[in-house]
Amino acid sequence: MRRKIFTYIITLLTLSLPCGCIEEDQFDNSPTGNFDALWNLIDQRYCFFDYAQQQFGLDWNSIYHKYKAKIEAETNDSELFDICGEMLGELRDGHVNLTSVYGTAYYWDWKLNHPENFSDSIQRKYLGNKFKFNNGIKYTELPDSIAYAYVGTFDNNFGNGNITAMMLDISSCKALILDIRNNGGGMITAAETLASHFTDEKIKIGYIQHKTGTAHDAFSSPEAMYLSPGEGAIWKRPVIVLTNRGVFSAANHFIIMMKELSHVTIVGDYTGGGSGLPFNSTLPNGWSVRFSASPILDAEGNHAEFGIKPDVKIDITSEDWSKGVDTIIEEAIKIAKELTKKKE
Amino acid sequence: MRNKRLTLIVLLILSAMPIILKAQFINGDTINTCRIKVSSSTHGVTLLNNLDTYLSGYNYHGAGYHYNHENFRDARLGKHKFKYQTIFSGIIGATELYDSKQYTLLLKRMWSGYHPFKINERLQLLAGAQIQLATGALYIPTNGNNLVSAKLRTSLAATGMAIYKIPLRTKKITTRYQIDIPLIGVAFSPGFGQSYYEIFGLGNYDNIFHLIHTFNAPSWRHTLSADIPIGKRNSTTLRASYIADIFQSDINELRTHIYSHTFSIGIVKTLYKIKAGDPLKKYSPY
Repeated sequence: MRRKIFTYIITLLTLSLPCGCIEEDQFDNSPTGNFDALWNLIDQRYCFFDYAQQQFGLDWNSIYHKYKAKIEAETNDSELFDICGEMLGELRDGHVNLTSVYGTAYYWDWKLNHPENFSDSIQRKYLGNKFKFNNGIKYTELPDSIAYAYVGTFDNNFGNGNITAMMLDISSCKALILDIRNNGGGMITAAETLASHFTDEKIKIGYIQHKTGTAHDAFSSPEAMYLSPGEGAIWKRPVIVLTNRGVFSAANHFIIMMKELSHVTIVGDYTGGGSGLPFNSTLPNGWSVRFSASPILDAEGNHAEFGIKPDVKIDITSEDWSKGVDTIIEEAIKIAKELTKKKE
Repeated sequence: MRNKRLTLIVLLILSAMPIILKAQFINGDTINTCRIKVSSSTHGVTLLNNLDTYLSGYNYHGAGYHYNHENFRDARLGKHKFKYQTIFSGIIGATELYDSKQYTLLLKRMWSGYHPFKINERLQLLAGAQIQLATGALYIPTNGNNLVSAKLRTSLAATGMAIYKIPLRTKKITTRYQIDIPLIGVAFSPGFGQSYYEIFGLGNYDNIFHLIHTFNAPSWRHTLSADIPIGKRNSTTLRASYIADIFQSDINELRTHIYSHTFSIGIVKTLYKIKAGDPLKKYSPY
């Protein structure tokens, strides 16, 4: 019996031999440690290095040396936050942010370096005072049986019932102008729910990938993404979707889906982009970092990270702006009339 | 492909084993001692040290509540006498890294069969095998598309126990040390940068179940306990215990550890199972 016990104890000890601790390389909570932690986190997990290199020659290694030189042992937290925020700005990605008690460091050039192309005071003239409001969607009927709906955010998910109720309400209209300008995104599932009410068949709308390791080119093979018809009403009459540079993230994904539909025309400015699904992580000092982790490609397999070209590119003219006229809505009305005339 | 098949086979065997074991114990349950079980529930404070690189690359520290329920009884497998143990363990806790908060939920169910070796009247050693099923999640509310890291694993473990009885005047204190080491199993893990939206929203389930072993998921659980009879006639037994539960994995370049150190206290009860047909079964306090 003693031999049996001895054998079992030896076996247990042998089995427990590989039982080491699983740890991650930890940077220290110092200005240099936090800076290195941030650079390494992005280096290992950011998903657009190769594409950014092709588009504007991003060299992440040289960026390390450029900003590391600014860090000293005496660098205080506020200065460190500014330096780190500036470094992240080199990625030119609105999905890359640093959040701390000093605020959130954003890269805004994707939007602010372009025409505004939207004014809510001008929009109010088109919406009037008798617009309807259903779960975040403002809508009304314009002259000539054209419906106008504004979706300013995808922060809340829509119920199929909300969208169906709106569509039944405007069912006498011949065309729909769907304005998503300045929609900065939110829930990708909200964008998918809305888009699903514009197709009566399952269609391929793009591809998704994710990083499989720390190397810049370690990606899974692209997996096709599909849009299936939503439950309830489906709008098959002409749809004119209005865009500007403020259309970002989940709203950009909405355009990726809508541009695959034959009865949809995209009018306005390029979208702002932001096609990477963002993840979050933390630095040793607890600051939160957001970064693009998983790229979504369009149906042709192209990146939409820096924006999507509209079918009809048009800006609000300064003359119209001063007169309180929305050039983009006017163009959309014109296109809607042409399309409905063709159908008749 | 071969790895996938092996993972599936291990998963099937592990999921079926508790049922097979239990069925055999019940069929062989012919002597009265098999109907006596020692049942204990302990409640304790646990100190947590968590790392999950899917959520953050840094260790979060904090505390939580640990509930542990154990049943222990004799069993028979053919002519062989065994000890049969089931454990349910639940941890809920909050950890932090400066301003960043993380929440932990970890549930474990373990079924063990032991062969006893009686060394002398005081010391008994037990050696056996165990099936573990663990599930739970780590959650950082401020994260976006990776706010949760779900845990699901089942494994076959080696387990050993030493029981030593210490006589103290009229009382007999039962001390125990138990170690459980998972050897092989199957665990859920997303890809390195894969979102739950891609897995559950789009249905890309490929490569989410992985074969685990002592090299990529070295985990173990140590339990040290003392059962102390209290009261005038030793009518109640108090259990004080320390549990070190080390839960780890390194899958898809995602590293995880949940280290919990629990100090707990509870009550031990000895229960007798009344079988169908026993005259006692007819009695009801209702």
